[in-house]
Amino acid sequence: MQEQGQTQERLSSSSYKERYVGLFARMLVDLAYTLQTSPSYKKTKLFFYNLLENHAYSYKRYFDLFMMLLIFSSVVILIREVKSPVNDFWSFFNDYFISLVFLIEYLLRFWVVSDTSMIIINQYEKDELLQRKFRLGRAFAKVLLTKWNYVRSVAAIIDLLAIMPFFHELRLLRLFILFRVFKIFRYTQNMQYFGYVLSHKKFELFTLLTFASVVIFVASVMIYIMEANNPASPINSLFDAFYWSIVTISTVGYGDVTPITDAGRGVAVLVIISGIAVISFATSIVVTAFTEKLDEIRENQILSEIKKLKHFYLICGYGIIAKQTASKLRRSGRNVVILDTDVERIKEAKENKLHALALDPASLSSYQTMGIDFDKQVRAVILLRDSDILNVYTALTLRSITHSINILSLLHEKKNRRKLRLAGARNIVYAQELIGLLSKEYSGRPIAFETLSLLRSEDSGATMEEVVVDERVAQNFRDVAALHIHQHRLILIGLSKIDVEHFIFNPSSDIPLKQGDIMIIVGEHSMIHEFKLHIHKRPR
Amino acid sequence: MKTLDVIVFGYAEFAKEIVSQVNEAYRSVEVFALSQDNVDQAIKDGFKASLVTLDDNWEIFEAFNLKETLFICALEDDASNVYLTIGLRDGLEDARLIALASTQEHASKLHLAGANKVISKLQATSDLIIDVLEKPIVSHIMQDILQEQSALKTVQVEISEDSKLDTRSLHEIALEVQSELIVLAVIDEKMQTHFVFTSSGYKHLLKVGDILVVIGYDEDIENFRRMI
Repeated sequence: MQEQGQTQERLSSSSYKERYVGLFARMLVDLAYTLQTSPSYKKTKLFFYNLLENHAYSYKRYFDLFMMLLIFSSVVILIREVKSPVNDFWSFFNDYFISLVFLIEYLLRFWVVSDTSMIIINQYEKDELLQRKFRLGRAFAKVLLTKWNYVRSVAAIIDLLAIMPFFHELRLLRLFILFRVFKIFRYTQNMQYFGYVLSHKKFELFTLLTFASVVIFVASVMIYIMEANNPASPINSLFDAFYWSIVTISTVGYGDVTPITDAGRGVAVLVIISGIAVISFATSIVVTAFTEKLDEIRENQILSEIKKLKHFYLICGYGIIAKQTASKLRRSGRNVVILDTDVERIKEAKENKLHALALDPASLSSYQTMGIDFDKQVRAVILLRDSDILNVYTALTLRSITHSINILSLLHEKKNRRKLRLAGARNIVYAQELIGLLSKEYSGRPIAFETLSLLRSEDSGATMEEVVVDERVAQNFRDVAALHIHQHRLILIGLSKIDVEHFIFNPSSDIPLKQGDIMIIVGEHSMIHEFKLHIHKRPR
Repeated sequence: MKTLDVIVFGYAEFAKEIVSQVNEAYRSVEVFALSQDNVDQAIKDGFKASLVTLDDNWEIFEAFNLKETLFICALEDDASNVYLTIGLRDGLEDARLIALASTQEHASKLHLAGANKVISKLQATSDLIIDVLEKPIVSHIMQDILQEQSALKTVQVEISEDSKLDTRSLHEIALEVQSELIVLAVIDEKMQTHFVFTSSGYKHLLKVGDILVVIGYDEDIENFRRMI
């Protein structure tokens, strides 16, 4: 009976435990879903992630500069403290303020390094799918593993050591301020590239280090044996021998410690020769590493520049029309990014001072590599590839990424117009048809043709421009009459009304102006520029 | 001088499109191609076509009134097109020649060879691409005018001897007709190739022989013609 009671007690205690664990797991999953669906939480996390890790984020550079300023001020205070004590303000600033900033930074990095709520949700959904109990322990283990991977990384260890001077009572920890200097690696991309390049030559560097260590060890022991018993020799201890070996093999040769016996000098000759080999080998490893990675470094630089562009036109294909189009867009101050699979064409684009990448425009992975925000950064995609097949394929790739982007495509053969349209090209340019129309226009109305050509040409004095009626203009000018357009020596060809999506040719003076309307104006470049300034000026 | 007949040289992709665009608009359109295949293709497509060589045998065009004929040099090969243009200019001094150029370099050679007008395929295409993206409404209007899809027309109106506009200022006329149509520019009778845009040349005095470029609807343009 007693045993039965104990068993029941154990069972009820274990079911209680299970209930509490189940309740806790449920709460955790609920919290994870709440966080994942909370726009403000995601926005905050994304902001800190961008600030700490995303080199393309425009505010990151200011954050990096601020952190570097803190690092340098900390080191300056440390140096100042060596000879004379610094006042309380600077001590407080160094020990508490800077350390606190670094601590906050460390914790933020710890937070953004992984998506804990997503890990929990993934585990929960996986267990649900397999119709088993939610394995809370496993989810925790995954979370801890991702955090631990961060904590044990070199950069995180340096970050942690840089916070140590916070415990200023431990005087030894003050020296840890020097670790703050290593934090500079975090904030300078070039330093990161340097580390990245050398990391690809780990084996060669390890071999070199092994060789140098063996030579130093053997030379230290040999020189100690040869010189230590000679009273005139400055090498009296194994440390002296070790010091001499390092100074000699590095080809520095201070000359403060030198062998005086013939045998010792013989060892010196061997170490000097080995030293030359070590230096040459080290130089060649670094040079080779940089040569091998040079293209990759340049590519990364271009990618980084592209990510920082606010708006640009993406031109796929760099044939003869693309060259002309890109050059005209650049002249009008627009940013252009070129994608082409042909390395030679990309080289030419780079020579023409364009952002160009040897990536396949029809491949999704190319856009993943670029890491651009299509909706925010790309004004339009211009498909100028060598065939309609490639243009259709590229258009479909782009449409699978975003529906909102404006795609303009060159059409090579008339019969493929519908295919391009179906693939998602909003604007299609068929050069042959255009030339046919131009020829017809010229043959029938050569002067009218020339007039329209001149208005399109960037070299003629006059142009036909679109001037947007923005909020300010709409407030300043009620209707067309108020613009007094003739006084500005301009011609108002028409008005595209936003509310009726209709083009009014030669609008009468009583037509009201609304925000979003677009005026089509003919005149000289300078007069149009002046007019734009005038309509944006506050009325007196 | 009004164009009544058009002669197109070549029957490659661009020439084909030109022929199909101008075919309906003129009294006769004839294709002269360098290869029998192209001639056969043009005939198959329903056009009048003949074989031609670049050997200066321009007497074949004697049947045409040069003042009413427009020659369009649209051969596929750039060098042949330049050679054809210079040959035509040499053999038919008064002929009006339009030539297609693939690049800017080729365009300047065609100008030197004597073409009255050179249409650069590359320039026109890239201009259109940029217009479509940067000035979509302007591009739409231009396309409509070119394709004659809207009632809006761009026409040239010559000031005749009995015109009321003689000696009046461009600006004055533009203001007078502004409720119906827009006087965009005038080409000066003396300076033939010199354009005066209404926006900047408001003091320009109109003379007999000047040609006005106006934009407007058919009816308003006809009223304007009657008025002047």
